[in-house]
Amino acid sequence: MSRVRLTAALFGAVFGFFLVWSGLSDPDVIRRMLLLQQA
Amino acid sequence: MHDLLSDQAPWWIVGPAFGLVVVGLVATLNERIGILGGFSALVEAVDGKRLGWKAFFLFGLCGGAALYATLAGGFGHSGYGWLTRTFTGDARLLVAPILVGAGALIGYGAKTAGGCTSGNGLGGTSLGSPASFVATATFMATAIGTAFVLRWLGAV
Repeated sequence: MSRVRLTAALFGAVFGFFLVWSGLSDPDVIRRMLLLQQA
Repeated sequence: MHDLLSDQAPWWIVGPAFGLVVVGLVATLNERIGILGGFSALVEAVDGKRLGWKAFFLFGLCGGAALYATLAGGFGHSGYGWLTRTFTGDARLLVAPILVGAGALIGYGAKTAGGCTSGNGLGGTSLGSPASFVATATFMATAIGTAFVLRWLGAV
């Protein structure tokens, strides 16, 4: 795997990890966020 | 580790982490973050086009999400919020086509806007792109307005 691809994959992994941990993959969390409630 | 990850991550952890990814991609690859590009690359790969960095960013994203699920205690899935709470029994079969249709609309909108929520909201705005500020303001205002209207209608 080239350096560019490996770097992209590593940054993607960090992004994916924190994206799910933040709850932004949960429709109910997104809905509460859009209703300006405590998500 | 399991207890730490079972709670929703606070903003002061997620914000800097996202910022690190945005700045890191620019610093190392001179590229702007985006998820849509990865999906586009996978579609174009059907025609034999070589997978670029965007596709590998997407692969990494899936891997990172899987790593979180593993460390947090498994791949438990509680459904798709209102959709799976509303469509139960035989009606549950409607959930998949609704999700596919919604996904197609999101993809069309993101392609038309030149980027998805991540590409415009994180990448474009951080680089000072006026178009990204307009796109982000538009999709956030639309989504917030739609959520309030649906709640007012008692739909969800």
